[in-house]
Amino acid sequence: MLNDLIGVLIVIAGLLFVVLTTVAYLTYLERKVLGFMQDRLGPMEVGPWGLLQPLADGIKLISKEDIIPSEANKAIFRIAPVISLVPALISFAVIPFGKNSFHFMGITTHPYITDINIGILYVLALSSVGAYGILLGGWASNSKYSLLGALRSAAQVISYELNAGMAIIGVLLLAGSLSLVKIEAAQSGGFWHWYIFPQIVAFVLYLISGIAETNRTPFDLPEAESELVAGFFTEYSGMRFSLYYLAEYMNMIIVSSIATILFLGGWNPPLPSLGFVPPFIWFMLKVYFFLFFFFWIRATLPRLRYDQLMKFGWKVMLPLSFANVIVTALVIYMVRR
Amino acid sequence: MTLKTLLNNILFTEIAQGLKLTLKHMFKKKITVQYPHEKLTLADGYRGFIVHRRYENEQERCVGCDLCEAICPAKAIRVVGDIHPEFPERRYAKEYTLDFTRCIFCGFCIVACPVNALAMTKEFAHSSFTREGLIYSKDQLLALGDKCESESIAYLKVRNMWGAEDSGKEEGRYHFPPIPTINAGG
Repeated sequence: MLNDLIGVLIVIAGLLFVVLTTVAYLTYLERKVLGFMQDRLGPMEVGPWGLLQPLADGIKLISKEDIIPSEANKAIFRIAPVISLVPALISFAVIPFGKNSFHFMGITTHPYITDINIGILYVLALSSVGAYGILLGGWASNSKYSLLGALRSAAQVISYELNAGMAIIGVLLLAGSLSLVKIEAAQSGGFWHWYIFPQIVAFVLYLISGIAETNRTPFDLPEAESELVAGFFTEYSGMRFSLYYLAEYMNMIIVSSIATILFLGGWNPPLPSLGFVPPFIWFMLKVYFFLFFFFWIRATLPRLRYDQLMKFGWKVMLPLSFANVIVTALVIYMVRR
Repeated sequence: MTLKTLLNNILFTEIAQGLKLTLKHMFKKKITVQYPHEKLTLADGYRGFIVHRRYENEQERCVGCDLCEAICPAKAIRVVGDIHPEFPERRYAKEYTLDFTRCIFCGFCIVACPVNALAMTKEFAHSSFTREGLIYSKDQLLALGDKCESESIAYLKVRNMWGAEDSGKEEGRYHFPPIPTINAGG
């Protein structure tokens, strides 16, 4: 019992370290990728090639003055960034990032914190809770820009979470389980077993919904800087601002991980002969591919108009995802009968 | 909607084209100049800070003729000319202030100067915490001129104002030889 607890604690500590470091360096990576795509160099001054830039940014954000607007609802203003960050952080509990369990001095560590049988549902539920952080923060700031950003965010998250959920159902039908570990295991044995091929429509739908859910360009209407200053976190500064920032990047990692697990086979190597590379490396590679894709899309596409966003979500994505579920269900029924 | 546009929409061809373009640019040569670490080579005719020049025997060239003050479109220059207290046959600038907060770096004063006492340099990174710090006196201009001697000569040469130094014939520009008896300018 105690050994199990220690094992879980080790995994939690390791995962926290990796996730927070990744988040910190994602900001660096994003600035570099965007810079390179715009023929610039990105951050170069702090450390060699600007590698210590996240550290400098962190120190700057912590030492900034913490401003709370006098007209704000102070309690909610203080708690909202936490509501946004915590669900993003605890979503990592069900992400299986490797294949093998390690046994060491009677302590067993699994490549996941917990394998609950409703894993994917848990992640979806938490991402909905995270939207409350944005909503409450925007409302409690008592500023028109924040409120508009929060409203847009609410509408956007509702319309695109639906699509993401419907897109995932196709995969769940194929895998026959909600547990992320089982979904990964069902895709083992070469890239032709990955669900991206039977579920290509769902993959595209999920990727678009994922970008929309994390408020990234071209769906960054809640924080559209050219119209709403900074959207829902206009009034935030210092550490609270950075909590929102962390939450956004963590959500990006979550979406990338889920896309990796559901459609690209998670830790499974693309060919069985490539099994000598540790499964963790394969998982990271795929996740980083999606993260790069996020930046790549940001460097390429301009922001959508609000009515385009809504029209696309409800009139194109939703019917397509429903059709995908129905077709998948029918095919599975035919094949397995 | 024709079949072709429908197919294009489904396959995201336009977005793919955009993605291809951005990816191509990612591997292009970057155009950023890391300024304090690497600097561009400036042309000889670069209009940087204006300086006062001296003759070879350290005597200052300025004769206090006020032409630069007259031509300055920004009214950045103020000259008070006077007869030299030690050498009554010479005129000099008793006071000379150049206000770099007003200066538009047009180079007219250098063109107007009949004795090549003014020149522009490649100095540009002079900043100050006060406005007074950018109002340069004659001594400061002379000190800057001593520092950037070769740059100022190169500027005058590339702007075709150096001819009188060698031949003494260029129109509207006079070659006043330095007074041989003195060593230091007053």
